[in-house]
Amino acid sequence: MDIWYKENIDLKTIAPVTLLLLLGIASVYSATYDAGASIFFNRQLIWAGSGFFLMIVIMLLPFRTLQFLSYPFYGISILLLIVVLFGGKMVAGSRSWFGIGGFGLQPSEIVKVTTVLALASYLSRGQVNLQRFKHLATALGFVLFPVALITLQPDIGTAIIYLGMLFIVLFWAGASNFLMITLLAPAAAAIATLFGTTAFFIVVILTLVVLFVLRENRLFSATIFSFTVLVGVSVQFIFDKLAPHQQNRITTFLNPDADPLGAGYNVIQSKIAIGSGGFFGKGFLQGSQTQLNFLPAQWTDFIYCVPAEEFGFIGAFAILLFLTLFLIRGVQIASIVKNRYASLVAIGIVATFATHTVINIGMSMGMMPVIGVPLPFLSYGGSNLMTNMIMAGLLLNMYANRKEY
Amino acid sequence: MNENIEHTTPIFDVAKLKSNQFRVRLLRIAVGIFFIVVGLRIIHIQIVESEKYRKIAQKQYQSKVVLPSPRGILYDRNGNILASNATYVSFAADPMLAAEDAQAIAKKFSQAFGKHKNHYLNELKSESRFVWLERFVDAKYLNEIDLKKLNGVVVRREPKRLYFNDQIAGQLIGSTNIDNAGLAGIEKQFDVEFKGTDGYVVFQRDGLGRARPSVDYPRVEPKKGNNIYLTIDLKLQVIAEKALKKGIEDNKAEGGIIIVLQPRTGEILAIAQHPNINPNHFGKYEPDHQRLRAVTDLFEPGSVFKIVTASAALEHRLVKPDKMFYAENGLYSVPVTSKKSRKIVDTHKAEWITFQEAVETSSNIVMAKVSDIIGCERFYKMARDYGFGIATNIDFPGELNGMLKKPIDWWSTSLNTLSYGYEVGATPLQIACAYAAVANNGILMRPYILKKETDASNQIVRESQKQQIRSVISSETAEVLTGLFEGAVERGTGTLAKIQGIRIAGKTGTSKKYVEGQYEKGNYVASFIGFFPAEDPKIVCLVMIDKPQAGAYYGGTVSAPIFKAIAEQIINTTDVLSRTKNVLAKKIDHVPSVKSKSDTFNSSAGIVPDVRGQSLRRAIEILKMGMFEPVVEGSGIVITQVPEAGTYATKGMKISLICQPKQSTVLSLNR
Repeated sequence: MDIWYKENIDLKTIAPVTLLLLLGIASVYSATYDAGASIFFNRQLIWAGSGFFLMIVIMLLPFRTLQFLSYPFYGISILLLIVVLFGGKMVAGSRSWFGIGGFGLQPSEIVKVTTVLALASYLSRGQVNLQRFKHLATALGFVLFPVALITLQPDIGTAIIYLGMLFIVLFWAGASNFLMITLLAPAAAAIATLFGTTAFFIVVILTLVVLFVLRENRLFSATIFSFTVLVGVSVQFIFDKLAPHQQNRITTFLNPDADPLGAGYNVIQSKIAIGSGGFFGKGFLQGSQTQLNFLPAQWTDFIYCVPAEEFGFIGAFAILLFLTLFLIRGVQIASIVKNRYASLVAIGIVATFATHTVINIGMSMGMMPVIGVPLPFLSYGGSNLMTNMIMAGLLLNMYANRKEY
Repeated sequence: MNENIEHTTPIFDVAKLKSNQFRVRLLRIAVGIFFIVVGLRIIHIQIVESEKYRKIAQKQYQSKVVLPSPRGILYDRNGNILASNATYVSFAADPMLAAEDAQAIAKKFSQAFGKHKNHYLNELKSESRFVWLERFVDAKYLNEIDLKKLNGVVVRREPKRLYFNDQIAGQLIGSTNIDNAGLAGIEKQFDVEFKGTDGYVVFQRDGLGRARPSVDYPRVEPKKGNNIYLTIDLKLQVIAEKALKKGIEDNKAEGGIIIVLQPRTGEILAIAQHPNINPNHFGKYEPDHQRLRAVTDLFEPGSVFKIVTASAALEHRLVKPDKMFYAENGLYSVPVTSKKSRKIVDTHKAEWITFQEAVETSSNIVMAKVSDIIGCERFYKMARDYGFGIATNIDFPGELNGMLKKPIDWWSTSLNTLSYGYEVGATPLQIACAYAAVANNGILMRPYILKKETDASNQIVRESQKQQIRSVISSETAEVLTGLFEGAVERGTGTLAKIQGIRIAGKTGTSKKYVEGQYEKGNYVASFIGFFPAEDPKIVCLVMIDKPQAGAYYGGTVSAPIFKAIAEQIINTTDVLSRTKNVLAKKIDHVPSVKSKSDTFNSSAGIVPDVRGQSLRRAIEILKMGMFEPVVEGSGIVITQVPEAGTYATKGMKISLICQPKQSTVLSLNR
C-alpha cells in the first residue's frame, strides 16, 4: 500500500493544486462577502469538493481506455458546442451557456480537455508526420474547428487559449522550427500592427533574423516573410477602413490606459487593488477595494486582485509560486512518461493551464490586454473549475502510468 | 523501480532524444521567465509603488456615497398599506470639485430653495470633501437643477417613511428617525426585517479630478427591506378608534385604550389609543403619548380582575354559581387588628345573594369572602396562570411584566383586596388575554401582531403561528364562567353593552386611580371587557376610559356603551361574525370609511412595473399605462427606478427614472 501510494500518487502536483483551491475558495468568499453574493461561495465550495473527488477518480481510470475514448469524447463535446450556439443562454453578450436547473454548463470549457485528448491521440499515431501538409492540416483542424465555433459565440478569450495550446503541443510533437515561425510570425505581425508602426517593424525584423538563422529553403523563407509583411499591412488597411467606434474598441482592447474610465477601468482598478495591498496585505475581508466591489464580478476574471490586496505581496507571490511549480511539474511529467499519447496529453494540459495563467495574471497586473479568461483553480465558475480538476486528474493519471509504453 | 530512468528515458524515440531535451529546457525557461517577470512586476506594484496605489485607493474609498435602502412596506392583515415610502432627494457637494462652479451652484440653489446665495457659498467653502446642500427635499427639484451643468454636486435619493393613514394606529405603528431606522412601535420591533441593505456608489474622477457620474463604479443598488403584514385589521382599527373618540368626547375623558383580539389565535385585530398621534410627525408629541399604553402602562384592574377570583373558586370546586353569600348590605368591616378594621363597600347593596348574582352585580364583599375560601396560594397561582405579573411576550417593544406580588410579600388584607382587583398592576393587554383565555375554552394564547413577513418580491419569509401558553382553567369552568359574564351583560352591571340577538359575555370594572400615594377622588378608570358570540367567541374587546369627567364614571355606564358601539359595527360591517350576522335586526346606518392620506388611496393602489433596461420612451409608455407619473433624469436606457418594481404605490405617484446612454460592452467578464 505504502509503495503503491508512493509510486502512483504525485504529491508535487496535488499539493499546489490543493493550496490554490483553498486560496481560491477564500478569495471567492471575500470577493462576494459584501456583495450579497454568498451563493457564489457556496457553489464554489461544492464544486471544489466534487472537483477534488473527480480529480482522484480520473487519476485512477485505466489509461488505455482514456486513449480509446479520446475521439468519442471529442465528438460529443463538439456536438454540445454546436448545440449551444443555437440553444444556449445569452450571458454578457455571448451564447456560451446551457442552463440546467440553476446551474450553468459551458461546453467550451469541457472542449478544452477533449480537444487536448483528441489532438494527442492523433499526433501520437506512428505514421503522422507534421512535415506533411495533410497531417498538419488535420492536426490544425482538430483545434481550429472548436475555435471557429467559440469565436461565433463570441468568446475571443477562450478561443485564444486554444491557439496557445495548439502552438505548444505542435512544438512538443516535434514540429520544425520553421513551421513554428510560419505559424507565429503572421499572427505576431497582425497584433503588432495594431500596437503601432514601431512594433510592426520590430516583428518584421525579428522574423527576418529568425528566418536567416534557421537557414531553411530560401523560397519558403521568402514566402513566409512576404506573407508576414502582407498580413501586417492588410491589418493596417482593414483597421483604417473601420468605423471610428470600432477602431476605438480595438485600441482600448490593446491599450487600456487610453480610456481610464471605460474599458481601461478594470485594469486600473485591478492595479490599485493589488498595489494598495502592500507587502503584508490589508487582512482577510479587509480589502477596501475588494469589499467595495470596485471591480465588476471580481470573483471571476479578476480574482487575483483579492488575495493580492488582502494578503499583499505574500499572497500574490504564493499564488504565482504555486502556479509556477505546478506548471514546471507538468512539463516534467510530460517529459518522463514513456507513452507518446500520455506525453502529448500532459503537455496539452500544461499548455492550457499556462496560457490561462499568463493571460490572467498578466491582465490583472496590467501587462496584457484585458482578455476575459479565468485564473486556474481560483476563479469562480463551475464548468471551468471542473475542467481544471479533470485536467489535473489527467496529469496525475499520466504520472501514475508513466512507465507504460 | 529505479528512479533515474525517469530522467533519462527517451520520450518518443531515441533519435529525437536531443531535440526533446531541448524542448523541455525551452519550456522550463519560458515558465521561469514568466515567473521572474511577474514576480518583478508584483514587487514593483506591491512594494515599490505601493504607497501611490494606497493613496488612490484611499481617495476612492472616501468618495463613497451610501444609497439608502427603502424600508419594507407595512400592511394590515388584508394588505392595506399602513406605511410605505416616499422618495425625497438630498443634494450634496464636494467643495473641492465644486470650487469652479461655486457661484453658479449657489445661484441655482438660491433660486430653487429661496435661501440666500451666501448660505450655499459658505457651505461650499468647507474644508471637508462632502457637504449637504439640501436634505430631504421634494424630488421635483431634480428637474429644476441640472446637475450636468454643476460640477461636484451629487444627488442622493432618500426614501422616507410615509404613513398612509395619519392618526390611525399611530402609537402601534410607531415611527422612524431621520436615518430611516425604527424608533418606536412596529417600526422598532421589526426594524431588522424592514431594513434592506444600503447600496453605495463611489464617484470616480477623471484626470482633472472631476466627478464623472456617468461611469460611477462600483455602484451597488440598495436592496429593499422585507414587508410586514400585521394581524391588525385596518377596518376594525378605524371602528375602534372612532368609537373611542366618541366615547371620550361623550364622557369628557382624558384618554382611553381599546384592544380587539381574536381569542382562538391570540391575533391582535386592533389597538386604539387616545390621545392619538400622527406618525408622520412623531417627534412633535410628548413621550407619554408616543407609547402604546396597552402594553407599556400598568393599571390597577379593579373589578375586571374578579375573573381570577371566580376562576379559582369554580376551578377548585369551592363555590357553585348558586351558592348563597351574605353581602353585608353593602358595607363589610373586616377586622385587621383587634382595634382596627377595614371597610369593603359595594355600590349595589344586597343581603343574601348567589355567587352568580355577586359576579353579575360585581360585589366586592362577596369576592372578598370567596377569596378567603380560596386561600392565598391557590389565588396567587390562578392569577399567575392567567399571565398576570408575566409579560405576554407579544412581538412589540417595551412590554411590561406587570406587578403581582408573591403571597409571602402580602399583607394580611392583600388577599381580600386582590379579589376585587387592587394591589395588582396589569397592562390592558394582560387583562384582554386573560378574558381571551376564558373565551378560548380556558387556554391562554400568546398574543401576536405579526401575521407574516414577505421579501421584496412578496414571497413569504415567515408566518406567525398561534401559540398556546397554558391551559388556565378547564373548559367546563370556562363555560360556567362565560355564563356568569353573560349574566353580567344580561342583567348585571354591563347591561348597556347588551345587543339584541347576540350573546355577549362581559365584565365591568371601575378602579380608582392611585396617584401620589393615595386614591384620588374623582379619578377613575372605567373599563369593560367582553367577548362575543358567547357560544363561539370570535372577538374579545377591552375598553378602558381614563378619568371620565362628565359625571358617570362606572365601567358599566362609560365603557360598556363604547363596547356595544364597536360590537355592533363589527357585526354589521365586517364578515367576522358572518354566521350570526343575519340574526341581528338592527342595522347601523353608515359604514365608516378609512381616512386616507390622499384621495387616491381609495381608488386602489397599483404595483409599480419593472422598467429597468427598457428604453426611456418604452419605460414612459409602460408607466403611463399603469397610471404612474414618470420623472426622468438622463437619457438612454433606464438603469434605476425609484420606487422600485413591485412596490405597492398609489396611482398617479411619481416614479423617478434614472437613465444612462447605451454602452457597448467590451469585456466579457461573466463566466
